[in-house]
Amino acid sequence: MSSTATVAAPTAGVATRTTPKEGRDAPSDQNRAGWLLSAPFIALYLVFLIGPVLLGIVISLFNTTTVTPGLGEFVGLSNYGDVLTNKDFWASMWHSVLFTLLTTPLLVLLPLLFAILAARLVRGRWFFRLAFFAPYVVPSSAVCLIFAFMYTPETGLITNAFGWFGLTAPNFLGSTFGAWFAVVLLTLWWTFGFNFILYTAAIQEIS
Amino acid sequence: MTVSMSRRTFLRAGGGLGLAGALSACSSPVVTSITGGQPATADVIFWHLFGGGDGENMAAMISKVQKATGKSVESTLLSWGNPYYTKLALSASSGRPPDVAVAHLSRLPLLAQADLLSPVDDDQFSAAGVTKDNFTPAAWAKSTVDGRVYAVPYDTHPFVWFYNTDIAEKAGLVEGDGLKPMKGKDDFVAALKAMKEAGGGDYAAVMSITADPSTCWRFFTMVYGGLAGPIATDDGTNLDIDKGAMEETFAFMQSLTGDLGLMPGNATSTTTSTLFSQGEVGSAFDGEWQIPTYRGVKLPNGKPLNFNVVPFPALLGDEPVAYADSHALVVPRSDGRSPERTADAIGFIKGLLDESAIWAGGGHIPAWLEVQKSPEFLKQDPQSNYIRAAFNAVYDPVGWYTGAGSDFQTAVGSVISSVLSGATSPKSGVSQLTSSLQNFSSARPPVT
Repeated sequence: MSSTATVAAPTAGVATRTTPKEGRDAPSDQNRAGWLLSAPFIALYLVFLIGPVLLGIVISLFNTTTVTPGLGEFVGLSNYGDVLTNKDFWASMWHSVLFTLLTTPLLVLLPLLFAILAARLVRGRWFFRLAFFAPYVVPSSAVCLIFAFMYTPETGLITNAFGWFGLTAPNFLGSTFGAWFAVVLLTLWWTFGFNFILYTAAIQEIS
Repeated sequence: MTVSMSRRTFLRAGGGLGLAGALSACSSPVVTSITGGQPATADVIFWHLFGGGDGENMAAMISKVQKATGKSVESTLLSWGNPYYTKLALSASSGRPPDVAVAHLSRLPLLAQADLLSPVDDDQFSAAGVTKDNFTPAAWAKSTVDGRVYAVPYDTHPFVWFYNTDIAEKAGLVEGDGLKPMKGKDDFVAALKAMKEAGGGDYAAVMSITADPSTCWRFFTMVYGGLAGPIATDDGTNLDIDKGAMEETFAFMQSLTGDLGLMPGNATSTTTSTLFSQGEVGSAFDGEWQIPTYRGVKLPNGKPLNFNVVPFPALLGDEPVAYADSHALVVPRSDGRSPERTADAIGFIKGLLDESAIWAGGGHIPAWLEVQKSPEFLKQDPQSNYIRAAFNAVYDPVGWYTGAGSDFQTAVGSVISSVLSGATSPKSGVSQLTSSLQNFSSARPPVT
């Protein structure tokens, strides 16, 4: 067994290891071990990621359905035509752009401000660092459920809070303006902590 | 080399033994997944989509049927809606489906037309009692696609009227086991006004509108169904919208949340359950499957919430209409299924039908008339109040894109929600709904 020979080599001295035969075998042995160790990952990667992506590209040229076996009729680029002329597609593209425009500046500037403020604190610094970062570790589904409860018309916490000041809350879940406000506020609260930690690290000169 | 086993040899031997074990029984899932046969890990493989209270009832029924038939059942709960139907369709088209599966009747046309289901109108099923005269007619009719029966319906679950009995009594609306007879929207509106006054709150009724297109679609279909037929015909490829009727429907719905101020126009499902269970409104419009939500609820003053459930009266048309769907049992097509397994599947289906009084505990009306007429069901209150809703049932229009949890319900329901919230006028609602529906009716159907 070649592995036995390799293990035994050190006792045989340096000369043994530099013989031409061993010199050629050791790297190729290592290569083989490397490939063997990566093989499970590569196999799964090919089967569950690369394969489906390639198949997805093929399917995009056919009228494939989930209820009939096979690829179906070849339709060329007409599926792409359908998407590019679909109003809903362009609406969702625009919503993604608008979402980025609304959240990115806030997520860059506010955490910087709060990181500086927290760093200047003498007492209770740990508390604010924890408080600002804590939301980031909450799973997204839990965050959404909690905010959906708070935004609920008539009975939700945020909606009622407007009433305490004699104001009428916007319809957070049912109007365009309200929905944008609701989603941006939620995103800000939830992802704020990550940028906050990056700034805090920079302020403490952790590189 | 020593005789002791090296780690590698040991692993190799272990792996080989494991593989041999996995392959040993030719019915094992590993083999069948390669050969394309049906895994036979139990006598009946069953797929469903019920969590919560319905899931518990289903588990109780299955365990009773297993005891009665002596056949093992492997039941798998999958996530509700589109993912379930995608999985069911793929399992059948790839030749490895379960023996029995649950399907909404509103989802049946596509599954049947794609040839993914075995018809259930043969002699074996008839011998087990699966015949037209044993089921609610509307449910049986909806189980029939292109002249053949593809599903065994076991319930009807309509959209119904929940009311707070104390408030209704104070408003002078109660008669016998239900509300005083009403006919037409004027009676209905008058009853709601009386409830608002008796309840003393801001509203008379509540319904989930915001972020709940399915509930909006159910309410709309019920009201519109009193005036006109389905909005799409010819398997969904042809639009058949009565614009006048639709505008009248929208105007009536919007008046409830708008001018009349009888319902909040922005309620979510949480608002609905909160307002109704705290006794702040006299009525809630919802599916009967919400009955378990309100059972045993205490009002803020510590007294129990007394409520009842009735079908809606006729609103815009002359006859009452109930929007409904049905859960049904289907047998996905599989060429490899043995006659014994088919017999077990039929026995299982018959067993579930016989136990459907348990299922009715979740609010549903049994479609199997033997149980629907049994004292066991008739003593269930309030379920037995709205049996006639099963007979007045209007389902989703027949089409490959319609049905429970479909993108169609989301798209069309969003327009209705916007009308109810007051953001869209009835006239503009008609044109928006029409254009939304055109996206579906003009798309390439997956089966022709």
